[in-house]
Amino acid sequence: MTHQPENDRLSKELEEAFRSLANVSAPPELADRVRLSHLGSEKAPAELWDRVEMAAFGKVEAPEGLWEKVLPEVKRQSWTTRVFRFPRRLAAAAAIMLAVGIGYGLSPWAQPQQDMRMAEYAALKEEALSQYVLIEVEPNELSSSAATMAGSLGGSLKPGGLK
Amino acid sequence: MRPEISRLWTSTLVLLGLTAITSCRPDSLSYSSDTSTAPGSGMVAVDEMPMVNGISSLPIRMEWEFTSTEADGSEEHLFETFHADGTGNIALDLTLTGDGVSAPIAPTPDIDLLHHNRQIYLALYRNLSVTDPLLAEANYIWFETLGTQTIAGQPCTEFYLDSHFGVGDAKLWIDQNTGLILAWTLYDPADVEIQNLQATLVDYQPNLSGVTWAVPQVPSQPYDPKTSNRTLGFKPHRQVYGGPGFDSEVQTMLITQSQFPGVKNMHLNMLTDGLRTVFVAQQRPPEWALQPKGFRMGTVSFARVGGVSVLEGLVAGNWVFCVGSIPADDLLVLANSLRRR
Repeated sequence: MTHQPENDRLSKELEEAFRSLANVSAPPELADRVRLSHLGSEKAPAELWDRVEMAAFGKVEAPEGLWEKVLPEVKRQSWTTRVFRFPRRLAAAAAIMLAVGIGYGLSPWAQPQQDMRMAEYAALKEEALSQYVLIEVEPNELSSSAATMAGSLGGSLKPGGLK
Repeated sequence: MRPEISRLWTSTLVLLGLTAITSCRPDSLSYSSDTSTAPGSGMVAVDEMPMVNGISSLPIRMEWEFTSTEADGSEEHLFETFHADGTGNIALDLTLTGDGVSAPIAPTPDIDLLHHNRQIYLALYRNLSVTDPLLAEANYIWFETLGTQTIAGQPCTEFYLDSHFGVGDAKLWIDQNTGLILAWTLYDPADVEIQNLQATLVDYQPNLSGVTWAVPQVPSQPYDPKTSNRTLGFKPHRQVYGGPGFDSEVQTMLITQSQFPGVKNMHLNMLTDGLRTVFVAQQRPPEWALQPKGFRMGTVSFARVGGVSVLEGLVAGNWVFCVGSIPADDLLVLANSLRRR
């Protein structure tokens, strides 16, 4: 490559024009345009175009009478899924009650906790009964210490009952 | 309020009302109660526990009739007079005894002596008392009979206590002015009445001159695991489970040998379910009761007398007594929860 100094020199007018642009910055889209020009022409996907087109189109009203015309066709092609009528406010009320019910069910005052205590106790009683043989005896066959304690809680004072 | 929100609230209230109506049962109980023991009509579940005071909490003279029923249906009636000075001194004297058939008679000297020796325990532990309101609320569903009833001239409210653990229900009549229990009835799990007490006279301004206050027949000391075992002569086991809702243990050491040389010292654990008292006591086992090693199944004896179940036998190497107005198999759960320290 040969160096040609005459090509490096700018004309005076052009140089002055550039100097007058000293405080001017390039607009932001300039970089995008330059980048796009480097990309060349790429085809956008089809749905992108649809979206841009919808956005650009804005809201429009259908012509009067259009809905009435298409409704029979929509009904014909759609499934009927409604099983029974249930007013919306009743559904909301039922939802509130369900939430309250679930809240109560999880609360410590709910019956299941009591049931758990009972079940735990029943298991302990089973275990105790499996460990010992209970033999019923006559009250006067109890030891004197046992008889005294029973008497202290209201056991009989009758002769022959407790010692 | 917006009309939609107003309609929503109305619908919610209507549905709640319908649910409440359909939830009602003929026995007027709430679903949280034990269906096995339905109280009578005219009763409502109690929202707030009533105020209940112990009978020794204020100066008082009371006369009452205590009745216990044996398994064969026979009854023992004790006519007693109770005094308290409100500072801890109490006295319970036996005036008459009866069987509910013949006219009451004066007690024989030996019956009178037995009763005299037991008066402190009878007044404090045989008689029903709400010793722990939290436990009493946890272990029983409380119902109140609407209206006022009169016991010994005092206006009372009747309460029905439905046992969660099925150890037997109870009825209490509580003085509306003083919170004292003036009458009570205790049932077994089959709803058969086993004990009851009914005041016949209540004097809130008693003349206490001449009253001989009760003194314990057996000296007792608080139990300290570090120092008491030498005095006891054995190592008591600790209670790891309170059985059917029993708790709030008070451990004492009864120095029985000082008064009765033939009776070994005893470790006593007094448990309550808020209403009933159960004794779990331990002694050094008699020589004949020592169990050979490898013997896996224990044997315990039990008897029921006057509405009180008594169970005794060798449990984990100690001689154990369980006594209380609950079924014997429930007492066995307490015995089986004793563990070596």
